[in-house]
Amino acid sequence: MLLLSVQNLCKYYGSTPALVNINLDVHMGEHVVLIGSSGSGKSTLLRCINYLEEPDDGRIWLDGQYIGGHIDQANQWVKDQPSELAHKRRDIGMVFQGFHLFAHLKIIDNVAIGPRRVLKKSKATSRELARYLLDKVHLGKHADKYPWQLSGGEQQRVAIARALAMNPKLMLFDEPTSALDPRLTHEVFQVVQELANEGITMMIVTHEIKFAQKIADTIVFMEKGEIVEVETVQKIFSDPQDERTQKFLSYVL
Amino acid sequence: MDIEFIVDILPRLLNPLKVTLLVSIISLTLGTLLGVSLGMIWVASTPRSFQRLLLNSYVWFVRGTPIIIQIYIAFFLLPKVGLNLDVFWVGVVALTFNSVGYQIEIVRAAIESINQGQWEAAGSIGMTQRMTFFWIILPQSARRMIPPLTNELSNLIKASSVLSVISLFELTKAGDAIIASSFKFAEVLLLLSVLYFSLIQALSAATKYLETEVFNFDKADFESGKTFGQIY
Ligand SMILES: Nc1ncnc2c1ncn2[C@@H]1O[C@H](COP(=O)(O)OP(=O)(O)OP(=O)(O)O)[C@@H](O)[C@H]1O
Ligand SMILES: [Mg+2]
Repeated sequence: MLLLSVQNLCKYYGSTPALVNINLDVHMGEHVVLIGSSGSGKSTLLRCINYLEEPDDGRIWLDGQYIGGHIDQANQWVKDQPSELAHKRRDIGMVFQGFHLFAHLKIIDNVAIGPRRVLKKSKATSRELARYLLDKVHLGKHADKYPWQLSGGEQQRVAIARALAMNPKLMLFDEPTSALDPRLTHEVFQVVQELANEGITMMIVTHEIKFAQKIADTIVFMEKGEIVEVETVQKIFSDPQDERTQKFLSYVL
Repeated sequence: MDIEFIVDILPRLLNPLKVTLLVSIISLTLGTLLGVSLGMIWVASTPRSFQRLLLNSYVWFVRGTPIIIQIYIAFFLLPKVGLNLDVFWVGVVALTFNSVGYQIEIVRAAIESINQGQWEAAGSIGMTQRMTFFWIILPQSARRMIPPLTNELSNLIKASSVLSVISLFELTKAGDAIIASSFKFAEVLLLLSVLYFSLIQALSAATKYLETEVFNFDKADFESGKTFGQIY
């Protein structure tokens, strides 16, 4: 079943195009990994999907509705009010390269604050959910610490739990491990793999090709703001079609 | 130096000291309430908007004119608009008006010092801008506002001495009166200096405690030198 549909997406920074006419479908339960060299637009694509960046053209469709606006009876595009956009963003979890945990909140409250303040659940219910999710990312015993007391890998797993607390339909990971050393990277990837095994739909930007091969159903290769090739993981590594993909893979494999 | 005289007049300065302390602290508190509200409006407004222009003009006026003029303006203007306040409250109005001009800047700087990633992370779990501001940005900015606010409080205590020009019987005015009747400049000025100095030191120590013990969540800022969430 189709979950996400990116349609003719374009994004410019000034006159430099960061995304050029992107089309991409993601199905429920699918694990998509985006690869491509630096500056190819991978982050921009993820950020446009939840409207952290506003696209200049094109649409994002997620499970029955457009993000960032809707089409009215007269078939006109009407932009979302900020509160409507905020509401739609609950469905899209995002994990950042720099973690961005809320520095003033204990670990448990970093996870509980979404259910508590956004979903308006009771304090007890929110914290119960937070404890459950912290156990899931193997951080139950750190619940009462502050973010600065945790390692980078632990912080990133808290960030994953924080996103899961909103029960999103889609999880976006933008280079979740590129600020981490190999051991911490492994910890984080293990958690991501466990979530993947549960069938959570995800899009992951990473430069770790080994991990990509392991977790991905589909690989998207981007260059200069364009999608060059979308292929199953088996096919793209054994028999890449486009010359640019072949070249890129010859560097990283 | 007449030590006995100093000991003698000390009790007469305790009440004026209280006036100095009260007028400064009340002005700082009102100034912070207004400064945070106006600072929020500043941050939320777009560069060429009417609000931004108005707030900038206000800040420029406060920073660009001597406090004594601001005090006279309050003193002569308030009765003209039908507000016949006690001279203590005229002082509060004048100092608050002055302090807000500086505090808008303090609030703005503190808010803008919070990493953009905090806004994005909050947005990505469905928080609106307003929710993000109150639950995420403001609590983190609060700690960063403490050092400049301490500085502002010490400025206010010193500025409150100028309120003697509208005959508020605060520390400087009381000292003046004693000099006028005794001609013992040195003793009185020494005692006034010590009192102002001690007051400011005591309050600084109190706010330092607030900063390190009450708002103790991101020790990372100043202890380990780690700055998580600032990878970029
Ligand atoms: N805020 C911005 N302002 C101006 N240009 C930007 C901005 N963000 C990205 N760009 C440009 O858009 C293009 C795509 O950037 P993007 O960050 O999406 O690349 P990326 O594939 O994520 O690269 P990396 O692997 O280095 O993270 C680049 O040319 C970049 O310089
Ligand atoms: Mg990137």
